[in-house]
Amino acid sequence: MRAIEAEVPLAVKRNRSRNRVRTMLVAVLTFALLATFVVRLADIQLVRAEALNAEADGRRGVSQTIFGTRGPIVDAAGTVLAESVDRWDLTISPQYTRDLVPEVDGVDEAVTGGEALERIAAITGDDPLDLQAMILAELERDPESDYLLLASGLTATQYEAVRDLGLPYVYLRLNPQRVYPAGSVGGNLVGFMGQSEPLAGIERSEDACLDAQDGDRTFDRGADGTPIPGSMVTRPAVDGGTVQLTIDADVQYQAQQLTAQYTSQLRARSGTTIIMRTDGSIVAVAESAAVDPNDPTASDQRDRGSRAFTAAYEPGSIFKTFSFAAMVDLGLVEPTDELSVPWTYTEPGVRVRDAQSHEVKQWTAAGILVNSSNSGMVRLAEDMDRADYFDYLDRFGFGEQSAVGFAGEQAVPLRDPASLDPQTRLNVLFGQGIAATPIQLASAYQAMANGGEHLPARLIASCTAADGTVTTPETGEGERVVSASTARQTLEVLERVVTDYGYETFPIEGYRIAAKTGTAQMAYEDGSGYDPSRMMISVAGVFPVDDPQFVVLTLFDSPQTIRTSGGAIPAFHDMVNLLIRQYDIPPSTTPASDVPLEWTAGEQP
Amino acid sequence: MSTAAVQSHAAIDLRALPTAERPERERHLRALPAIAPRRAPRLVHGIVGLVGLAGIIVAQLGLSVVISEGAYRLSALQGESTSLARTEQTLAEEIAVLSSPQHVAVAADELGMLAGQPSQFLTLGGAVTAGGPDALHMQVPAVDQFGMHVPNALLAEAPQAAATVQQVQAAAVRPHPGMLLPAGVSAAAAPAAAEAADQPAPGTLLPTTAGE
Repeated sequence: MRAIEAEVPLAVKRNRSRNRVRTMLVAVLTFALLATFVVRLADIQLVRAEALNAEADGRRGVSQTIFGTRGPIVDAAGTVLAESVDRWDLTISPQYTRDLVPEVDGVDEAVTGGEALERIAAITGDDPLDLQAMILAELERDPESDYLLLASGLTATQYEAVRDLGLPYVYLRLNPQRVYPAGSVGGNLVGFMGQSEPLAGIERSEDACLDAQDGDRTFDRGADGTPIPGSMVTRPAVDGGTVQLTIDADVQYQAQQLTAQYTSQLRARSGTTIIMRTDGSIVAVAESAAVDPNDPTASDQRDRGSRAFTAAYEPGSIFKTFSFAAMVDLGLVEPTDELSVPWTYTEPGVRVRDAQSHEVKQWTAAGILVNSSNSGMVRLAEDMDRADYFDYLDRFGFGEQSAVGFAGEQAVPLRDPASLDPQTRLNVLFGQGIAATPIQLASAYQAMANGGEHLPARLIASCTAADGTVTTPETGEGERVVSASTARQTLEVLERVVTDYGYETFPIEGYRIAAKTGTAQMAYEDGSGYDPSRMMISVAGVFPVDDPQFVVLTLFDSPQTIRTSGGAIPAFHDMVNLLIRQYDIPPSTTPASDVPLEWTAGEQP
Repeated sequence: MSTAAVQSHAAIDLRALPTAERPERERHLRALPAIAPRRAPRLVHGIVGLVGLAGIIVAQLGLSVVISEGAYRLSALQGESTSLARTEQTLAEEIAVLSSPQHVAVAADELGMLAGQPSQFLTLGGAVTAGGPDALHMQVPAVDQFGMHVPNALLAEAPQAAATVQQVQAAAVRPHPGMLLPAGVSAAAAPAAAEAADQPAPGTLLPTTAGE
């Protein structure tokens, strides 16, 4: 062994110790590196943890809301009545409102706080001192306040102008608003929005179709705000759907203009006009005073709804059409039946009077209806069971909400016919003791115009969702109320009202028009009797009689200049004119009705 | 020494015996082939390796630069698209106000236009049918001293129309309750001779010939 040992050269010994030294060196270095890492780790995780977390919070994924657009409301031809537009809110951070210095804030030139407010005020149209006062008040309330709304409803040009000012403490927030391009045309129907939700009209009742769902977009942001590619996750917004109405905006505008003119001319409290086609679709519902949804607060509280749907009243003489039709349909009465009619009807416990006293008249049943004789109607209905009559009224659509289902619509239930007192049993024949809304009356006249078949009234044609699916509202089936011959006979009798009533402005040459006038008394709210200072004058009509196309109902509440239903006749005339012009309705080619109104003793019945 | 030497010598001797005298055994041991002297690696390989590595790094850098640039460009284009969409919406709003029935009516009044006449119907015999609409209010101006009957708050944004409305209203005296109307004017029918300069009394029906 010694021999082998003796053979190990000295060089190897030196190599080995060099190896050991190297190994030691590497080990020391490795441990030093490890120690540095451990120290750094401890520093980050323990010592500076909070500060770093706070800084990272601001730089994590940013989330932006993508606003969906609320759907528009359009008329039958596509004219937009309501739509959503982009508007911006101007918000400011009061605690950071300061003078901007070029070096520190990265702006090109110095901008003092006051100058900045002046520039903002020049864009928004406010007073800069007001803005300053608001900021100072907010700072007083909370010195570290970071949010204050300075102005809202900025248009796109204003938004870009404010953004170009480049003020770092100003933030513009998108806040879409509703705009009504046609103003008060159809305003009572369309309704209006409050701060964030619809308050009235179609906006409210069709909110499920119109409402949009917001989406959002999250991404990671670079130091200068640019989104880092590949990090964006988008959930798209779902826009609201389009609601299409059956109304014609042109006719609506002109009908509203006429209603407003006549309401102011008659010095009435309000006026309402309903124009409906014979298939139940509504062409126009004009109210005066109308509400402009762009500025609902400018209108009186009571004018912001639609009286056509909400104001129930005792209809008066225009209701006689339905009792007459019921009697004819039941076979109890023929329009040519002859009666002698005094102007009162008195029995124990009941008393009925005509509007004007007259001698005993030899009127046919048609004559009773045309002359609007209450006592005559009572005499004609002596054999009619009120239960049958109320059955007819139920099928005409009285006693329940119309199929439109308007926001705030009233359903005035019919009373039980068996429970009526003797006076009311007679009153219901000529429209007292029973209440109805104008839309119910128009819809019942639609049944007369449609050959006796009552179709549900329709205001909403369809709802088209953002993806294109179209839904039409379910309105139910039509219902036959009276036979077609009853409807025809009744319209022919009513045609005589137009030709023989004695008002020059009623008929239109060349056209066969059927109409009924009515002056209704209005009861006190507490039901203690009729208010002598209020009445509702109305005309309801169907034309052309030979091929009915439209139902027109016009009412005025408490006119001061002409207090009889004759005051509403020019308005009715103008409405019919409007429809003839708008729809090019040709003149009638059949001769006018010649149902006899009077008879003389000795003639063959 | 002697025994060990003899043994070792014997061992050595054993090994020194000629091959033929040992029992025949396969040789398990072979001599290793001569190792070729190790040469230092060639420079080319190293350069190729380094260049490849550098190339990969550069390519990766380049790609991420291009992607980032793309992101900035994309952001700029999106910004432009949004701003153009805003411009479009502003213009669409202006069009909506200008095409609203109120503005059309005011503008038409200013131009002196009249409401359209109804269609005339001819019978097959060639005769014009008698009758037709004879609207009592067919030629009423959209703006009178009472303002607009069917107002539109958006009209304030069309300055010319708004100015017209205000002009007409300011030009006439606003009637107040109890104001005495000129004698001889009734509410039912107005005299046919209504000149353009005359303001009709409030509430009068204009005849169909007015404005012609």
